[in-house]
Amino acid sequence: MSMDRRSFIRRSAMAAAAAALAPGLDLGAASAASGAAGPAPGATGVKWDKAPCRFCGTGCHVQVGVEGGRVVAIAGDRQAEVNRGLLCVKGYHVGLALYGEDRLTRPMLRKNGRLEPISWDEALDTIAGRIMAAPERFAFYGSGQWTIPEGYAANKFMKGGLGNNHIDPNARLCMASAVTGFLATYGVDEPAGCYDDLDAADVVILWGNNPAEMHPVLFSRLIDRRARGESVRIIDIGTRRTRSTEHAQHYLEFRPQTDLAIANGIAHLLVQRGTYDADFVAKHLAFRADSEPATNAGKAITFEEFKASLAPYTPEHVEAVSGVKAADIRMLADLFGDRSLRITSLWCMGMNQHTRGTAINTLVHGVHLLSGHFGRPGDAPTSLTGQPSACGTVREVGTLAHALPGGLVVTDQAGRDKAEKLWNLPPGRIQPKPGHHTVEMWKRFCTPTADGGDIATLWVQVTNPGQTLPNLHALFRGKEGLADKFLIVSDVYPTATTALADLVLPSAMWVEKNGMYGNSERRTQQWFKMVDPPGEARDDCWQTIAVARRLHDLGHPGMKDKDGKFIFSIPDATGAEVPVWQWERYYDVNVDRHLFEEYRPFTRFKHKDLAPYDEYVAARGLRWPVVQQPDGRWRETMFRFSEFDDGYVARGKGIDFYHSPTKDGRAQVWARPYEPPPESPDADYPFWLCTGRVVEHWHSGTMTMRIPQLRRAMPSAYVEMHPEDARALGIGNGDEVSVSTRRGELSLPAWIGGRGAPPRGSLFIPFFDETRLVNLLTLDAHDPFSKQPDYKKCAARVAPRPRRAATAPGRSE
Amino acid sequence: MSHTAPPTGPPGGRSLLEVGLTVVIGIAFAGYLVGTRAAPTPALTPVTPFALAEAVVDAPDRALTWGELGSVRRGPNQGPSSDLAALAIPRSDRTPAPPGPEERLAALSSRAERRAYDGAPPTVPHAIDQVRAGYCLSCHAEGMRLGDRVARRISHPPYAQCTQCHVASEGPLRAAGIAPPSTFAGLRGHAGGERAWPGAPPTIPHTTLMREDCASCHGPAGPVGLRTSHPERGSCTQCHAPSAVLDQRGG
Repeated sequence: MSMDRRSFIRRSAMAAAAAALAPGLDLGAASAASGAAGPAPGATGVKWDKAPCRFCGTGCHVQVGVEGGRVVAIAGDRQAEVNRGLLCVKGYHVGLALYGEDRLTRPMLRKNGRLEPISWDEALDTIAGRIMAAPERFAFYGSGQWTIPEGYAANKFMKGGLGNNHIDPNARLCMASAVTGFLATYGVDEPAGCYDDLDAADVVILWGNNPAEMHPVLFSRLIDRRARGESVRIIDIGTRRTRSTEHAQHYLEFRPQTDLAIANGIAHLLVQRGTYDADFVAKHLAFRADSEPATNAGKAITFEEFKASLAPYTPEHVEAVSGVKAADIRMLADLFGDRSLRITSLWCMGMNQHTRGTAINTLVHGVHLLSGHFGRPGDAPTSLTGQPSACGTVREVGTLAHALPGGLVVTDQAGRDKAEKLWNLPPGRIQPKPGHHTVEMWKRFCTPTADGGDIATLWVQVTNPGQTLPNLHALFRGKEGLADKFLIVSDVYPTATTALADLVLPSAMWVEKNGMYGNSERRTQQWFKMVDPPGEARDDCWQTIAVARRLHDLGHPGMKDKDGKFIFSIPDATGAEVPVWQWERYYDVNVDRHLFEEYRPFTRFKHKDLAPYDEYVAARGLRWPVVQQPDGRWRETMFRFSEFDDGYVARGKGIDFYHSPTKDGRAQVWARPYEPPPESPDADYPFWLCTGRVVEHWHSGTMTMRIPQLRRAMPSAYVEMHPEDARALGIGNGDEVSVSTRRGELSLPAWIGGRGAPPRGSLFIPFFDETRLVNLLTLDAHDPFSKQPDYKKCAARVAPRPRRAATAPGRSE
Repeated sequence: MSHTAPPTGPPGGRSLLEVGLTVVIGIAFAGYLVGTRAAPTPALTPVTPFALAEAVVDAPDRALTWGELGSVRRGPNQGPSSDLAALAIPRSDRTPAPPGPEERLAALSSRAERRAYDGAPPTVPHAIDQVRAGYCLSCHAEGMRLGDRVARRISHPPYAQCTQCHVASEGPLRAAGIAPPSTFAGLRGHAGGERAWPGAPPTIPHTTLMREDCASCHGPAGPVGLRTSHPERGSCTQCHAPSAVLDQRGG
């Protein structure tokens, strides 16, 4: 009896306690009133569903907990192969990104210098009016955070509708050099390997890469192998010590830009010692060098010519150029010369944001191919992406100024024909001349029309160029005062970009809409809308379709296919057209499914086959090519070009580069000399300046700076410098200092002995902080092939600022 | 935490227990009233995930002068004193008693302070090594206790990158450390497990993902309100069933 009494008492006390703890939450409240036991686990009214994380290109899946129409919790998705239930701190807090107090909820038009609320109808009429007036002077600036259907709709709207190729994404700033590197080497984009390589590799080389902060879940997947008793050797080739260095056996510190010399030094030794894979070379490789004029196709050279190009790169010469010890170059060559090892290379912005980005990408592929470290699990050169759908939406859907979906390009007649056929457009609709790439697009937009600034109206979706473009004074702020230029920004929060916008459109984000992403390892992912967007915020894809419909109604001929049908005509199950351009009808059908199925035939051209939409609904993503098997099942591919896994490799071939640039199944190994950077430290600007990211924040911080836990952990940008440099300049930890380059000046606190350790003569500043815009300082010089700017090196100087009396520097008042 | 066995204490224990029960009943009744009032005045301020932590170390980021070194305590161990009497673990802590509701409330509330929602990785309430994440394990691998400071034992396998998920509650550069206004309202703690009948062992009311070591919270060094009454039994899931739904099994 007393037992029952006691447990009854304890239970009611517990329920009362829960009610007191959580007023306003239904959990526990009902049981408090009834005196019954607490709610059953999982029965608290929280509904869980899968979604890929909103942030980086790793592509973790999260489980999103929704209650009362709001996201209330996040969990790592145990069924996801990418992350197996683990997330990083951003992923665990991704749900909070929706709930910053200053969400944009109404369209706003700048009137007399102020943004004032207007109706959606007025907003759409304004955009359509401006495009109609000068369709050729309109440009669309998109994002690797566009969902696949969003990017597909925008690309079709521009290239297939307006016959205008001025569409480019922020991914140009992020992984364009990886793309040109893959194309120049294999003739087709995206990595051959996948994350499973991390489970099998004996050696992992980080080329200017800090995955401990930028791709934490992948880095954990790697280093947690050690906890299981496996051994994995990590070599960090970097310009500054980072958290990743702490887990590496070797840290090879090189002078910025000299990674080209290091890669050539490895190849030099492989060739000189004869430790390259002669059989692999004979069967699978051809050699190339830069042509005159330089193109990404280059010109063929012989293996002998290739060897001759490597002659200068002796270990001693490489040491002199790069600062990496000759013994360490030999160590790398020893590893690559040993075919019994499995070697995976990882890189991200260090190799891509590089004025010789394409060159270093091809060189790293070259070292792997030359040594035969390719095509077996664990043997892979793998680039990582920074955005959740840089691969899915930008590289595969082709939202670049020269591209069409499925790896087709506008300069190729056959490619245009294929796209026009699939889109049912009259021949000649798609223009053959590539549009402006990102840097050019913004330069033209910020140049007065009379001086050749041929972009007058620019629509930005899902990105924040006012913070992320390089050399912001020239490429973004130049827009100020140009009365005939019009900037349209679709976003979820006020940003550095909306600050100059003439029209702001409030967007739905992440699980406020249906979506699909494609991650770094060719994995296509799908999720459903789970909560409503706030206020009048609406899907970006709807915005594009609604503008297209306005233009259709205004009589723009491009908004109709050759049978006179609207280019975004979407039928319901009975075949009747649904007016999805009316917001209240948009979710009457699954627009994502329709657009994805329309896009899918494009993916066959380059053997990047995608499965039907419903396969992705059931899966935690699938890696393309996803090929239907005789039994009807859809099978994903982990290792491309390798017979044991890739169904497109002819039987008996072993390895087959079936999109080879030379059409003979061979990958291209490039001779690419070291070239000095466009700007190096000198007497006036004696420091190297590198920019980058931190684990707490994602890119420009629009979302993560509104998440209290992340903002409090990392509230402000800072400049990292070497203690001896700081001492020489009289700078103390936390002191406010001034960093300047030939392009701008920035004030921010110094952090010495902090997160990273730059060598003497070098500075590091993260770019997440909109109040301290490091891109006022960066250089807009870019790679000749990829047009990707170099954010990783320019010349800077640093000086202490006068200290405030009686206040410890760097502290709040 | 179930109490299926009669008390086995000394003869006087029974009456002590009755007194305790009276107190518990009183508190439960008060708690019940609080919980059912239309506009309750909660016993504790409702925890919002973005309430700023108060325990900010009031020491400059700068290196201290020689003169300051003697007077300013800083870093993660600034709290504990070197007074041996204060450091001793009180014996009473080793004799677990069933936690009372107010203790449980306090425990859940203090947990919530450092979590955006129930299940979020807690933020770290002390300064951290920015680079060597593995150093966390020097205290948190086995857990330790120093005076009133408790380094909770890691509740999941020792991943080598603690700072991947756990960031400092307060960043290193405080100049701009203002919490942004947010309307996020995270899932809050649960009322407790489900019992098939009065006296049955309760089920586990939370996910076991990342909470594989029950003793981290429910062991003798856990918060008083969450401690098990039977720490000598090591196989928790023998009696306490996890939830397939919460653990994402089969769904």
